[in-house]
Amino acid sequence: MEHNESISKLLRLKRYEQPRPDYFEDFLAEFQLRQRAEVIHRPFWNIAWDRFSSFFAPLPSPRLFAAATFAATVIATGLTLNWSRQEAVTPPATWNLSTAAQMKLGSDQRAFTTSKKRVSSVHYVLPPRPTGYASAHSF
Amino acid sequence: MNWFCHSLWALALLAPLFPLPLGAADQSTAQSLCSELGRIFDQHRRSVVRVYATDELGVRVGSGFFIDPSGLIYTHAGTVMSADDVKVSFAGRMTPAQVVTIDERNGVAILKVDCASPFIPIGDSDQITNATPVILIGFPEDYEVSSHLGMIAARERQHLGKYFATSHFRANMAVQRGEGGAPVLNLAGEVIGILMARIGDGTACHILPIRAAEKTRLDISRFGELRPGWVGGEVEDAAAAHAGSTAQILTLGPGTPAAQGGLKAGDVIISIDGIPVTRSEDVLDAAYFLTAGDLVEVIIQRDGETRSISVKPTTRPVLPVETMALGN
Repeated sequence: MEHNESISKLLRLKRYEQPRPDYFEDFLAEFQLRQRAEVIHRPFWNIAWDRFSSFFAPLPSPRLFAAATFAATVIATGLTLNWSRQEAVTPPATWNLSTAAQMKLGSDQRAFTTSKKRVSSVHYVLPPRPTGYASAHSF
Repeated sequence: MNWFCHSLWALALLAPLFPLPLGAADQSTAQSLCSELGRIFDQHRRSVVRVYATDELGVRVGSGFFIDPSGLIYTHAGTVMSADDVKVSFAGRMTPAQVVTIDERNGVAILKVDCASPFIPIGDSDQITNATPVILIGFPEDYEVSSHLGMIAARERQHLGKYFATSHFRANMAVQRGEGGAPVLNLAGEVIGILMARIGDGTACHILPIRAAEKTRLDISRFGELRPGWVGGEVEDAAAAHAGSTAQILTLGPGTPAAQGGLKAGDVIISIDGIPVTRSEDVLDAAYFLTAGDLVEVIIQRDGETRSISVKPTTRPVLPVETMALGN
């Protein structure tokens, strides 16, 4: 009984415990000011990650799905870049001839593109002198 | 007045005997030449192929040409040597090719594709003399098939002190990389040589006479392998000529076909197998066409007397062949 009395007393006291009226007048402006300050001081990747994560919000484990998607994207990008670099090593001067489109290269083209070592050089043949023997006057 | 009339009559009668004015004649000749060159190019461009050969170092690209309707191709040995895979670009598609043989002596390779093909007829390279105009049809680098007009300058046996296996034509004709193995034609549209090497920066070139390449094909068709002949003699130029020749036998290896046949040091060689010899360098060409196992007649002069000696060459031992520059 005594306990209930003290709670009622506390509630009566709290009812009169309110901020000044001007606090409510500036509340919205102050809130927006702090919100902007937070946005400005947060790193970009943090904001991007939040937005990215919020995309998966409807799913049961949004952070897990976001992390998995991010990892898959990174791996795919790495593979694409690596493949592009191999393409650049392929000798376009030879194999992009007008005949290239007509050539049914099939496995041959794969052979030229899968190994950097194989495609690293193209020699157009025309040596500086014919073959010959060191000894001239023997028969 | 009478003499004037007679003069007019004389001019009228003699006019057909005089040639056209020089300018008109030149123009006509030039047009005729251009027309003929264009005809030869159009007729044979489809017989010229681009050859691709791959190995662990990359791709080698050269030219070649069909020499019979069954798909036999002459090309540069430097293109296909040590290749894992050989293909030719022909009729707008890539066709696998089999390497029939590679002759390191003359730098020629023979390929075979399994299809009917156009071909360039074989000409007589022995009839080619200096100042003969020739046409080359090949694939320069990654360009389409192209033609070049040039002129035979001379027959050469050596370049910068290194002797060839046999005489080559030296031609004043601009050539480019990728055209090694391309055919060189006379104005009758017959192949008389194969482009083997450029000279300097490519403003001139060395051409293997087609007869020398045919020796390779003949060996393959007769024996299924190359059989260059060798009799085992060394020659030098004597101080004085005997019967028009200074090619004197210097040494003979013991047990060599030359020694067994009866040749001796000091004999002056007049001819080998019908090929005349006037100086020591001439034996180069004569020896090139020897075939192991085929009897050959050697005409010599010994003690002022001309003799004929039959020699049976054996297979030429492996000699130090110059390393072939592949494309560079």
